Amino acid sequence: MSKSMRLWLHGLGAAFIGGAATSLATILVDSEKFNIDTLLGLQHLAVVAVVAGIVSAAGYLKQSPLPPVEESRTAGSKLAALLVASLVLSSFGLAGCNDFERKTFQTLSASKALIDQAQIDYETGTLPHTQASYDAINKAKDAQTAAVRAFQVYEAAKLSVNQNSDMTLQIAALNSALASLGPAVVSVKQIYLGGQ
Amino acid sequence: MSNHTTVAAIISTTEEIQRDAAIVLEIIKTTYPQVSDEAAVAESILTILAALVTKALTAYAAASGAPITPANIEGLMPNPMPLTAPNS
Repeated sequence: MSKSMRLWLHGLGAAFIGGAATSLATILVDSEKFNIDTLLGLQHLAVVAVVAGIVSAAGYLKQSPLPPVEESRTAGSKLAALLVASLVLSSFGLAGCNDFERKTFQTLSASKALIDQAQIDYETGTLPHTQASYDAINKAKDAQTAAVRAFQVYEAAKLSVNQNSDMTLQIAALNSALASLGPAVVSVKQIYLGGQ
Repeated sequence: MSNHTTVAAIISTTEEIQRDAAIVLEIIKTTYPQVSDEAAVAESILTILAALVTKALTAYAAASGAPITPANIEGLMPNPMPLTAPNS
């Protein structure tokens, strides 16, 4: 349970208890009907306590109908984080050269679509014209460029050497570039959530 | 399950989540008018994010069938136009 939810429930409980406690005043007003000495008196007292608690809790709900939304836990945030993470991370560390190339190509296609859209949204004003937005998009563009360059170097090396040659260096460089692209894309996502 | 099918399923789920969220937010706006502004902001963020994710996933799916050629790799470069500086 999130902290905001706990605080909200705590407030709701406190409002109910506070309202119920005021029912004790009825003992002073009519001690024959409302008392803790007889079963009937106790029942009357309990009914007043429950009703007063509900009224008080309703007042609290009117002021705070829902727990405050934690920005990092919104549906949009969860959705985007899940999909972007699965999109980028699923492409790393996969064995098999052809599969590696295909996944790299797909990942770079997806990240290009996302970064280009962020640039359009920035220029059209959908995203705020702040230094943070500007820096995040530019960093993502730089990371995308570096990853594409590494992919080009890898492909060129693959064509120029025979199949038994070691491609470890090129693969390591490409993996490193892709690893830098992940956080850059997440930073762009943060702009949409107002985190920049 | 092919890549294309998986991505199509994710896009469909994304759209479904967006629709459900829009309904929930609409109910919240009607029931609690005092949080109407916040709900409207949440709804617009969700719409933009869903569009963004759908776009990225569509590109991902399209790349599963495209040949990996030097020209296609060059095409993965980001938009070459520089961004407008924040103060201009």
